Parts: sequence; structure tokens; C-alpha cells
Amino acid sequence: MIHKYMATARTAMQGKTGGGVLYMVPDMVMKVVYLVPLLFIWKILAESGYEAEMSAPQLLSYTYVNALLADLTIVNTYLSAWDYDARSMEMFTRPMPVFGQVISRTIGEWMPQLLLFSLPMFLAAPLLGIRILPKTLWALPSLALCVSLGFAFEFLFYCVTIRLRNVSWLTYVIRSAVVSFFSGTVIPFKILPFGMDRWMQYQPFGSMGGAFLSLYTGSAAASEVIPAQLFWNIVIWFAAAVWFQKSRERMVSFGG
Amino acid sequence: MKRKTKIFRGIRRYFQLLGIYARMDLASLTRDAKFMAIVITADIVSNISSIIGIFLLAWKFGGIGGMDWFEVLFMLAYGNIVMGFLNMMGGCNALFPSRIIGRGQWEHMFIIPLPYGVQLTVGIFPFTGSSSLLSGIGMLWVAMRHLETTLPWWWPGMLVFQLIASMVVVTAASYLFSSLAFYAPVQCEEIASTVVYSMEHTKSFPLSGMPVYIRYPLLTIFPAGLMAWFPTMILLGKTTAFENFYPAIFALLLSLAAAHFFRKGFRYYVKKGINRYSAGGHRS
Repeated sequence: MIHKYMATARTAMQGKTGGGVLYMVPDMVMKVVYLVPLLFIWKILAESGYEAEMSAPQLLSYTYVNALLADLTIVNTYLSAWDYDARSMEMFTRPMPVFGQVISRTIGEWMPQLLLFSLPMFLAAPLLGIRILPKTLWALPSLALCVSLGFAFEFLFYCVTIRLRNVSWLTYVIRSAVVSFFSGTVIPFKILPFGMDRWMQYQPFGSMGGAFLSLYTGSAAASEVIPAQLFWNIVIWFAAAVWFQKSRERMVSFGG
Repeated sequence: MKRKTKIFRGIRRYFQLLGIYARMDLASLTRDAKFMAIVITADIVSNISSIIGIFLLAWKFGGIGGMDWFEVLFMLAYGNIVMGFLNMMGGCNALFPSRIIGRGQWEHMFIIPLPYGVQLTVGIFPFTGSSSLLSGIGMLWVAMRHLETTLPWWWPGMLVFQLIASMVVVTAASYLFSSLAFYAPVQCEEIASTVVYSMEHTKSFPLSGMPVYIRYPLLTIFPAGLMAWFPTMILLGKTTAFENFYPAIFALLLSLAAAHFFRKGFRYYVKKGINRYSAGGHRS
């Protein structure tokens, strides 16, 4: 049963490294380039003596862990990519459930970056003075719920793409813009002004990366985060499954 | 006389083509009301999201690294204008040449009776692609109204000069890295977007107060600092006379390097070519 999913994940992993590991280097370099200035912003704010709801080590850890697990905190599958190679059509020609295919393939695609970038960076964190271990073990189920919700949103937005007749770019722009701010992965909700954190953490995107990271760094309690994540997982997965069943027959692929 | 007429005809044709693309863009936007509403919503949401995080941080802490919040807003606006203009002009992937190369579409350009430069720059999206530019101009106006510095008479000229230099830096970086797509079209198809989007995301960081070992690489090796922060420092009068010309000098050098490597890659490509399309029309 599980074998076919493992095989799909393995194939996807090989696809990522098929051109050589060297071609993954630009992505890794860009992640570091983005990470370093953001870490220094927290340091500058800490050194300036500003009082924030999170300590400097928590902020550093938050940003660092997010960079390491960026693929998991905001899930992007090939459903949100341009459908130039007919991958969405191929999904229906294989003797496997569509949901399972997308999930196993995406997890396979994560592996090279996790092994070649995240793992070494995780081990190097103490050398950079960053606290890397989670504050609570509740962070693990929270990460699983965050990833699960990410996949649910992927299917939901894929239905939007289908309904808009392959306006993939627009769907991608809306999704990326909404998720980047409302997930709280870049700027933690806790340090937003005007008491925004009070309602930001309860909107559906707030149960993605930001929820997991705040548990990981100890800036939120599991009793606040996990129930909200469970609730949004149930709601969004239900909506995604129903809407996907209704939308799948409208799908078209133009090539390109 | 004949040569002059030819040049004028060329310029007229160039603007005619710009007009044709602009009309097509307007037609695409207004083809149905639902689509138009979605595009406008997407633009508004995307533009707000791109700047809101850093601006809220600046608001909360009264500024970042010695820049007050309206200086931070000025920087974010400047960056939006740079990317907004490039996105508007580079609608047909002109800003992402590795896509054109990697998809084997450069060969399509061989048979179009227009110079490459014209083909790449006439594909403007002034209606669906100008939201970032317009929001940038609006934010710049708001920021300038709240800045406490008195601006000299030549300041608007300096603003345009710095904007051009920033745009050249982004374009040259994109073309420099895209040269690799001539050698590895599949793997490097998206290298230009990796470079440009990374610069776009990193441009929002105020580098004031950061140590030199962070600032200097972001002004040289990976010049995201030249997309907004450094020009903002220049325009706010926080740099020396020599530093004022640094973005222009850097833009010139980077363009020369990009032109050299792009030509070199192109010579390789015309000998080898690529073939990525299946009979069904999908890319491999």
C-alpha cells in the first residue's frame, strides 16, 4: 500500500537532483541571502533596547527555523505551478488517488533541500549562537498539522485555478501574497503593532507556519495553538475535498 | 537624410508596437468583469503584502536601524517603483530571459523581423502590470510629505537617475545569470526568476545599522541593497558625493559583464540549440 507512495516520492526526489546537485545551489544561496539580513534586523532591534513581546533569541530562532523548514511551513506543490508540462492531467492517468500522488511527490521534492541545506544548517545553528532545539515537543504535532493545512490550501487554491480556467499566475500571486503575511512566517504575529496578534493567530492562515514557529520558540502555548490548527485542518480539508470533487471535471490543460 | 527618415520610422514603429501591446493588455483585462475584479484584487493584496511586514515593524519600533518609519516607507516605495516599472515593461519575460532561452523560445525570435531589443521591450503590460508602480508612486508621495529634510531643486533629476541605475542593476543581474541557461536550459530555465525574486524580497530590508560584512556583499556580490536601501540613503542626503555615483558605476560594470557573458552563451546556443517540446505541445 505504502510502497507506491514511497516510489513516487523517490522518483520526485530523483527528479529534483537529476540535473546534478549543483543546480540546487542557487536556491540554497538565495535562502541564506534572505535569511542573514532578517536575522540582523532582529539583532539591531534588540541592541536598540526596544521592548518587544518576544526576546531576541526567540526572534532569531523563529526566523532561522523558518528558513530551514520553509518548504514545510508554507507548502507549495506543483498544483500551484504553471501547468506547462501537463502534470495535472497525468495525475488522472495513474492508478493512484490524486491527493496521495500530490502529497507523496511533494514530500519527495522536499528531501534534497532538507538533507543538503536544512540538516547542515540545523547542525551549524549553535555555532551561530542560535537556539535550535524546540521549547516544547508539541512543536512536532503542530508541524504535522501545519503541513497538513498547507496541503489543504493547495487543493483549495488549485480549485480556484480550475474555476478561473488556468489563470495560474493570478492564483499564485494572490496565494503567495496572502500567505506570506497572514501565515506569520516572516514577521511573527506577537510583535505586530495595534494588538493585531490577537486576531491574526485565529485566522486560517495563522495556523500554518506562524503557529508552529511560535510553539517551537516558546512564544505561544500549545493550548492556544493546537486546537486552532485542528479546527482549521478539519474545515479547510473538508472544503478542499468537496470543492475538488466538484471542480476536477472542469480541468483543462493548454500546454505552453 | 535617408538614414534620418529610417531612424524616425523605426522610432514610430516602436511606439506603434507599444500601443498594440497596451491595447491587447487592456482588452485582456476588460474581457470579463469577474476576471478584471480578480486581477485588481490580486494586485491590491499583493502590493499591500509586499511592504506591510517591514512597515509595521518600523511603525511598532519607531523606525529600524536609524531610519524613521517614513524613511522606511520611502525605501519600500522606491523598491516598488523599481520592480513595478520592470514588471510593467518586461511583461513578455524580458526580465526573465532564462525562461525564453530555457523554453527554446529564443529561436522563435529569429523569425520575427524585429531586433531582439525591440522584441523584448515592446511587450508592456501597462494595465495589468502597473499596480506596483502606481502604488510605489503613491507611497513615495506620502513618505515625501512627511520627510523632514528640505529637498534641493535637482532632487527629482537625482531620483530619476537613481531609479534608472537600480533598474539597470536588476536587469543586468538577470541577464548575467540567464547566460547559464544557454548551457543548461532545463536546469536554469528559472534562474532569472530565482535571482530577481530573491533580490526583490531582500530589497525590503533596511540595511542601516547592519555591520559592513553584511552591507558590502549586498551592495556588490548580491546587489539587492542597490534596489532600494542605498539609493534611499543617497536621496535622503545620507551619503558622500562619491557614493552618490556608486549605483551608476556598478550598473555600468554589471551591464558590461552581462553583455559579454550573454553573447558568449548565445554563440554556444546557436550551434547546439535545444528541443524541449513534445508532439502534444507540452514542455519536457
